[in-house]
Amino acid sequence: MWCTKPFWLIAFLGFGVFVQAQQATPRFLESQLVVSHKLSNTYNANLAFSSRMEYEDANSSLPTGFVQLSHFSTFRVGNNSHFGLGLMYRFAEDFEAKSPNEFRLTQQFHTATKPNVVRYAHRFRVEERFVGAETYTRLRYSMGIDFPLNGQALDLKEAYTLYNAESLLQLNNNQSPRVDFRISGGVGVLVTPKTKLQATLQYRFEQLTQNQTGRWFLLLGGYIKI
Amino acid sequence: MRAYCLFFLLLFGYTAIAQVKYEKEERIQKEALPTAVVKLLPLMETQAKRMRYYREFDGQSISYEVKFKKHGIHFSVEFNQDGQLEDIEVLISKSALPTAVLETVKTDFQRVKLTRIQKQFVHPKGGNPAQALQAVFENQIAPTAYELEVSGKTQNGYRQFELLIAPSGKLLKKSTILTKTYEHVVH
Repeated sequence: MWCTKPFWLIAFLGFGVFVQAQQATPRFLESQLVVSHKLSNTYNANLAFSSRMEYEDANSSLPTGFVQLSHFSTFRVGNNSHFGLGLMYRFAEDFEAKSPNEFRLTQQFHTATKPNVVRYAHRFRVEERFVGAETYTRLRYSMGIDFPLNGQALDLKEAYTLYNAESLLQLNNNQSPRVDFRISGGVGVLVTPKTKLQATLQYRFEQLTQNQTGRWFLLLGGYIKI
Repeated sequence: MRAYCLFFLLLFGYTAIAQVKYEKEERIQKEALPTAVVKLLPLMETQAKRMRYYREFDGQSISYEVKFKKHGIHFSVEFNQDGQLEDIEVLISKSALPTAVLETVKTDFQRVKLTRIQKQFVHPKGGNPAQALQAVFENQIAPTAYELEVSGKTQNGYRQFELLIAPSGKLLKKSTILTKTYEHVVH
């Protein structure tokens, strides 16, 4: 199928870049387990457990950078739109002495349309990040598309693919505004009617207006509906 | 790490135990279509773009669908597993709907949005499929019904339905669409 063949080529090229040693570019692995429950036609809640590991070239190890717990409540406000409120706590001090713990509040608006097979989604987020003694406000906008890799709808045991681009603006009284940009692409599988597994490769352009750096992330996710 | 591995192994075990109704729809190559369908392809392929072929299994029977775009209009032609023509659907806009059909849609919803609208031409058994296709392409026959996907707010909250309405406005069929949830792909 025309839309799958070039994707696999691009995906493998992306993984190849991830594996190749680049001393100036750290590599990260983030894994996430999300359990969600639909309490009513308009309210959905989920709990997530995540962790991040960073690959170190020096001793070829993958130590944990942090683990975090989060909760998101989503309210349907239209045919295709949702408003969400989130809480997250990140335990970082126990893993990296230089990284303080973080408490984060999130407000989110998400809308999606699916004219035919491809779904187009927009997400707007405002975050209040309490990192150690510092407080940051971060504004985020992302646009993404996703579609099944076989047929017009995602059936059991079938795969889907997704692509996403996101811009971030972080503000703080004591620091210059920080602009980041992230692009990602990945695949997922509907393993059971209530379970999905997903792998995404993401590149983050960080501090675009200052000392720009880039980082590769491999994001693994398991999503369960109960 | 070990906990993660154990957890995902348990998930795959659950996959084996669960019993679900198996519905599948997959894209196929032209060669996988029944002979009767292949014979009609030249008629459909003339001046058409984006030809796609699908095989669907609804748990009981197999059907085939040929989708294409011709003169700027999206067509969907459905055949049974023997390759006999079942129906032809043509994607249209809201402005092409008869008033009677629109009034029927508004009856059940407080706020409604039409997400997909198609004219449906059901092919009678024993009829000539080539003639039926040609008549639809040349807009020579009236549709037997209109198929609409609607989403809107009802007394029971937000719902999505598939409605089949006759040109007179009579509601022929109403079924709830079970939407695939995409929480995992909250971009």
